[in-house]
Amino acid sequence: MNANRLGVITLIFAGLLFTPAHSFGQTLKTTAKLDRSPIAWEVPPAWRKALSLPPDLYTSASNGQAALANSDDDAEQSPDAVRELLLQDEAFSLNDPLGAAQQQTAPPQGNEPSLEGLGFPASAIHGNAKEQALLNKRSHMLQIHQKLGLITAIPMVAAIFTGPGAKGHHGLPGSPTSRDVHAGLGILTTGLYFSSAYFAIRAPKVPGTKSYGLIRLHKAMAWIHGPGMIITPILGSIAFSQLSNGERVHGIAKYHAWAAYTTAAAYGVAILSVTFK
Amino acid sequence: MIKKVFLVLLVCALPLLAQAGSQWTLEQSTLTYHISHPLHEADGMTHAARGKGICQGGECNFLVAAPVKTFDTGNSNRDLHMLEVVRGGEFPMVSVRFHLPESELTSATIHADLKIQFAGKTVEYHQVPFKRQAKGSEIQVMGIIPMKLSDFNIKPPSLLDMPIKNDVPVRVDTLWREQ
Repeated sequence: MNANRLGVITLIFAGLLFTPAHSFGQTLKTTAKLDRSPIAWEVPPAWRKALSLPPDLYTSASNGQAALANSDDDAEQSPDAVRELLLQDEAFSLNDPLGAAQQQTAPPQGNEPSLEGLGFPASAIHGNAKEQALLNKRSHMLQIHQKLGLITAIPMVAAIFTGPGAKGHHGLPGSPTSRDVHAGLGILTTGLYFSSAYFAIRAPKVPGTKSYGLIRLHKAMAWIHGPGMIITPILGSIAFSQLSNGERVHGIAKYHAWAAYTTAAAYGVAILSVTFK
Repeated sequence: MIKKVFLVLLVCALPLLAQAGSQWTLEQSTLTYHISHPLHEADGMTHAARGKGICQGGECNFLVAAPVKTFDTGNSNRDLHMLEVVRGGEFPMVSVRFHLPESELTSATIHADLKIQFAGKTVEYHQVPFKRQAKGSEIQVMGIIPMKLSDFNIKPPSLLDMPIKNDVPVRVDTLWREQ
């Protein structure tokens, strides 16, 4: 009965983890289909419907460079179109970032309205290099957190699959090799998990920002899988020593598997919460 | 003597009369950008844009601007990442300038040459069509700006090593009032 339940839980978790890959394949197919009609995906269909836009809005000759700006396939454009694109490119500002920052607040000429004239406070108009550096550091650390977090999922799933072999069946202890493999995967998972957690915890907070959306679920899950990743290895280590001494797993160590499943489930939800919306 | 004074006053007043024109103020607005990722889609919306149009001598200059950090996709983490990739700390505003003949303000479709300042770059989009609808004393102007991340040298942000699409259309829905 227990083995069945274990198998079901493992399958559910594996399913959760592999769903993104499956969906990615489906999305790629859809994208390839939409690519044949660039208009369909460049402007979300709901927007097109709401604005009652004609289907040829961005492709008609009257829309000139707007149409060119939309085209992805430069090879199909006429030499004139390419020249127009190049001319359009020349209209781009070639200033360095600092110059561009000055340009953003440059006083307008003649009867042109100005940013200051719109009533924005000076603090909202002028850039702040420190704030940008903070954002860069935050993003960089969270990207490492994301990568390590995904890598952690691999030994975590493997540890769940190897768990039953380490414990043994029908009252008989599993083989020492299975136990060692399972323990090794558990240690690897724990190490990677806390490395990933370090980058999430140490990523700088941006003052004045509040969390909203599914990121709150992602953070809330940490209150489950965080303690779980402390308790599970401790219980696993007790269970390991009991089995190594020829004893059956008993006492608090009996809950090692349940702690692991709860941790893994919360971890899966945390990954999915930032993946799909 | 009185005639001379009158003439002097008239000459002085002429430039003022010539400058007399109309002004337009942005009353309400919704600017929405759309991003596509292989695993999901998202819309970032702001109502914080402000705008003004000054018409003189049959020509109008418009400016619409919004703080980049006011765009909300419903996920604070995504919004902060977006703020980072568009260098919203260094360049906190996105602004759109366009110049129109005053006569075009009454046509059902307005074609505008937009000059967009965003992420430290200025890019021009030519002949972008907008729908215009009169609503009492106000006019509603709606359209889609076909923006691309590469136009502004923005590296598409990625999730699970999959970047978002380069096309980030911006839907514009604005309500203007003449003053």
